[in-house]
Amino acid sequence: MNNWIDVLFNGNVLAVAGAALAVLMAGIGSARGVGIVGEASAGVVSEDPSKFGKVLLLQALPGTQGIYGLLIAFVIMTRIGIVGGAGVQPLTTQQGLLYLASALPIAIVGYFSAVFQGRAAAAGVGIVAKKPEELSKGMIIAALVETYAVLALLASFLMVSGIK
Amino acid sequence: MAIVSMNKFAVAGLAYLKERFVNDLMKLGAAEINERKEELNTLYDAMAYESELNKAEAALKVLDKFDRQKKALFAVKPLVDEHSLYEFEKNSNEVKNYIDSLISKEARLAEISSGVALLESRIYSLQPWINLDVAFEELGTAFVDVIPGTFPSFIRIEALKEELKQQMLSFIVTVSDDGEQHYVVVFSHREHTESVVQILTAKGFSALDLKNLSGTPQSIIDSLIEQKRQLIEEYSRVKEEIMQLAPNRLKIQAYCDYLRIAIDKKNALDNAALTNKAFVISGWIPEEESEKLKHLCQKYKDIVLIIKKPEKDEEIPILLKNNSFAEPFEIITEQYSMPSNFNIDPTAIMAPFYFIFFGMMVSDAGYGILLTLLMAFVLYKFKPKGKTEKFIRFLLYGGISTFIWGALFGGWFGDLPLVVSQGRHGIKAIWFNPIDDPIKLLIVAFLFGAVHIFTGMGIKAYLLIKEGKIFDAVFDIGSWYVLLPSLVLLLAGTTPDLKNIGKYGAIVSAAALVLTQGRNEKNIVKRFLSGVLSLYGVTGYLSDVLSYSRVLALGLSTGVIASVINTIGSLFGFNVLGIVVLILVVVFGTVFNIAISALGAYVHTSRLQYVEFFSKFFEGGGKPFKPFKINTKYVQIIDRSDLANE
Repeated sequence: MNNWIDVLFNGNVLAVAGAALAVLMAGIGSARGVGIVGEASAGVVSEDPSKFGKVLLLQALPGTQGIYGLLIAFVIMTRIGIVGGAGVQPLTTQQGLLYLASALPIAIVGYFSAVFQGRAAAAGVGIVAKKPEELSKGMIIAALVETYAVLALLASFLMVSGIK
Repeated sequence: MAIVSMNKFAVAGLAYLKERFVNDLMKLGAAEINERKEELNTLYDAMAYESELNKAEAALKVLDKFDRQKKALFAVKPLVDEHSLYEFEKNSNEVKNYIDSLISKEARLAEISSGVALLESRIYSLQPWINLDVAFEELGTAFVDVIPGTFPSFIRIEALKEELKQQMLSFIVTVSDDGEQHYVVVFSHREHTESVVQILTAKGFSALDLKNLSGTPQSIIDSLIEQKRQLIEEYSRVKEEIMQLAPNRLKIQAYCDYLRIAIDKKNALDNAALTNKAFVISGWIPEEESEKLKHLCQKYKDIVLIIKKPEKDEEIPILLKNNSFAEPFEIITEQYSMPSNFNIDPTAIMAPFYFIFFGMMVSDAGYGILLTLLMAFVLYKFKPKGKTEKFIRFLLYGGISTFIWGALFGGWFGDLPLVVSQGRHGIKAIWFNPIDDPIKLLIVAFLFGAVHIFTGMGIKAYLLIKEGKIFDAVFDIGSWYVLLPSLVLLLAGTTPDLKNIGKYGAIVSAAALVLTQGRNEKNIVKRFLSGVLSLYGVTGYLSDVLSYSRVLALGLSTGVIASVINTIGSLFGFNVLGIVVLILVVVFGTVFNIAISALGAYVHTSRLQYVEFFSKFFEGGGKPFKPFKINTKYVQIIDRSDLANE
């Protein structure tokens, strides 16, 4: 009867759940963000196909959060031995919870910053439509949102690498 | 190494010289012409040229559509002799013919396309009647009307037939049935036709419109198909004709550029003040180019030139000039804003920081080498000009920096050497590997950041001193210069001595801030309060420095993505298939990772410059210097007159 509870609080299960969460949340956020910019971009490109390259740069911006999520997941998986030659190491419940907790910053902040960066970048697409030479300003505006994903990535990374 | 100093100039001359002079000024390409604030002359209306230009551009678009040329990333503009360009002034009929015929041919193509679509829909609508092997006009006899038409598919046609049969007045024969409609022919005695049609119409019958239909359905369809075939033939013929005009592309492009130049000249003439006898043109010219302008004006007997230095508080157009290392980084400054002429050009000071941070954020020696080689190749092969050239060199420097930091941190395509040698040989980091010791890199990033911020504050102090506000420099910047390092010593000093130095330094400088920062307030209490409040600025500096943690995060992300790529690539082991997969994955992954990392590094390094560095001293809003010169889009003009003159 207690079997499933044991499985649930197995350290490795928790750590993998953390890795999955990082990829899931940040990835969903990036997908939404990139989608938002994509919709705006398609409108501009339909008017002027030559702006494709420019709007593509903007569309790529909210994609990084998904990469950060993958990155943390990868670091967790390497540490617990799912990836790489070391073989899976048994973790205590506490260690597993620590991995899970350290995935949270990039998972949650990654999700929201990707969505909001998507909106800012979509507004930047408006800049490209009217003043294509000011593309870089639109990029900087969107990049300011990413700061917090970068900070969350950093926090997650430091936490993961600190777990003994 | 800064903002280029400008001279004002004014040229006055006799009216008959104005066109020639504007020509020469354009070729000189060094002076900016002031726009006249009063209403413009309409003598030199550029409108006609502009509409001509639009037409020519439209013709070029037609050519592009049918005669696809591979566009090189950095196309070299073809050279065109100056004289052949100015030939257009006398005789542009030939090129105008090309343009008109291109535009009319494209219009014809559009007509043909819609004609084909129309024919297709007619063929489609006649298709169901194809079994009717009687000509439409021959339907019917002396006593019987034969009416082709349709019923919607939901009508039960068999029941209807029964019904009509009982009335003995008419009957229906089904020709075909396509699931949407029943195609039928109604036979009816002529005397009853009207009432029969009325009854059937009420049931959903609609008679076929027989106008314009003569012959059997088969023969009509055949003739429509023949017409369509002819149109399609004509389409490819017209297309062929357009293709035959393709060799004239260069001529049309040259014509476009000729028109562009002509429009610029007209606008320049519109900006000249004119009387019946004389003209005046005024503007700006860089100091070092002034001699050339003098030289130019001396050629004319009836032209006078006045050059003078701008007034102190006058707004001058801004042109940046830097040494060859810092020059590419001008694009970063210009993207933010041209500095105001009371400020300085920060490019030269920013460039080394940009170089360092960009490299730290990508930090992979392999990627650095690839990026450097690629950009060097582009520079060598395509010889781009202007902004493109600057941008390529910018990326080239980024690549070099990436290589240096990558070697220091031991990133060679991530951990590729280790993966390929199956764990036996890795390339060791010259300094240390950030993945093993992220905190160390974090501290390094903060230190670089602190230097960056202090440099920005130093520039502010320099500007204040230049303005003569020495006290402001000492109190506003100097106090912070002491306070911030003191606080670091106080909090992180390892020996009591260091902590003490920090303590007293902090007390003295904080006191200086409290006492001086409210000096603009008259009320003594307010003065003290705003002094105390200014200490809150510590949090601002703290968050500025913390912002440099992105250097660590982005550097790590490049390395980890690279090792993700390598891990995926080596999943199939080291047999033949595995090695092919490894190569494919690593090649695609590397291209992807370089692109995404370089984009990230560009955006975030720019942010560090704009938000953390520029905010300390920079004042933008300068108006960029726009010299009046030959601007071409498609061709590059070879100027022969210079050779003749010298």
